[in-house]
Amino acid sequence: MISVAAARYGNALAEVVFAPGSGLDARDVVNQLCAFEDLLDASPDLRHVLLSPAVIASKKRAVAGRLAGELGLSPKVRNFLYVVIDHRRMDQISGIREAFQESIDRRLGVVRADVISARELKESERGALETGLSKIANKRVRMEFSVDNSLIGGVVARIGSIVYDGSVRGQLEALRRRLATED
Amino acid sequence: MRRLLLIALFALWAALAQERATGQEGGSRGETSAQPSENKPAQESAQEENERYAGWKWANFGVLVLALGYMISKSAPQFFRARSEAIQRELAEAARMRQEAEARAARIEVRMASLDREIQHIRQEAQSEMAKERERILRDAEQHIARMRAHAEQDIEALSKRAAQRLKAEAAELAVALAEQRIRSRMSDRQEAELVYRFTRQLDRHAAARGGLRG
Repeated sequence: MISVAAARYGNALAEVVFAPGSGLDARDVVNQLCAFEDLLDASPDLRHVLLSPAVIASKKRAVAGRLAGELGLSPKVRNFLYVVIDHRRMDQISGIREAFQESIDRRLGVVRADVISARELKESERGALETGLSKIANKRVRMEFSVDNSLIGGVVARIGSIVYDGSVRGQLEALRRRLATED
Repeated sequence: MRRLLLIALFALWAALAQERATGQEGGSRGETSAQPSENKPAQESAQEENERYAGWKWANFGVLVLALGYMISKSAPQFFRARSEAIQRELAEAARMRQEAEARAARIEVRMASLDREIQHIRQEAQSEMAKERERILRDAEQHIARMRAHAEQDIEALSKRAAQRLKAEAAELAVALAEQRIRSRMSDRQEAELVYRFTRQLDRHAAARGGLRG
């Protein structure tokens, strides 16, 4: 669930990225944000330093600047992180990244499709699913793949609020409902 | 009545006066008898005196009797007439009272007779009311029993329906769990790939149907 503040920051970053002459690729920015987020998740100490109100903003900026250099973040992304630190919104960096992704999806005419499978899908399967879901949505889709073993087999895809259930779990659930309600 | 009393008192006084006079004479004769030989001439003289006044005494008595008779004859008829009238009045009053008592007794008898009828009527009404009340109570009880029976039947039906549904749900749960176990144990990569392929085919069909609808 994206908070209002996170949506505001995400939209602001999208404005900067899509501004004429920004020289930024939206997908690159997403990847940079994901890299920073992964680093934050991987290091509790770093997370503590950047999120703690006891640490002053200048020190947080210094740490973020150093990380940006190591991760190869663009100056605009680094500056955006400085803004987030100054406004003490670092705890919402995941929401900000999601809001930014949604914003660029809207701007690029792309819809997000979450695909859950019982096992890792092959590239050919992913491609076939992307094609099928694009046809259904009549738009380009940004695929988000995940694995859930409880599905037993098959795939569940979700675009917005619409769910396409091709999993064994879903079929068994439908069978259970039919058996329970049949006279 | 008062007058008669006065007359009687006067007659009594006169008689007592007469008696006293006679007694004094006797006393004087007794004193003289204690000395018979000496008082004999005095005794004789007293007797003579007595005999001499006997006529006056009788006359006195006659005057008294006449006076009494006069007074009695003057007041007695009026007294007896009043008395007779009073007795007649009392007799009439008694007769009237008797008639009234008889009438009252007759009325009471009539009322007693009607009272029996009334009691009978009240008893009949009470019996009728009791019978109606009994019927009403029985009817209410039957309705109550019918309602309770209907509720009980509904409850039983609902409970049995719920139990059947629960049983069916549990049976379905068990069946699905068993099916899941079997499918999971038999699931292979080939079958999984087949499932993904089928899903993509379904998506294509769905997209084609939507495209057809749009077209």
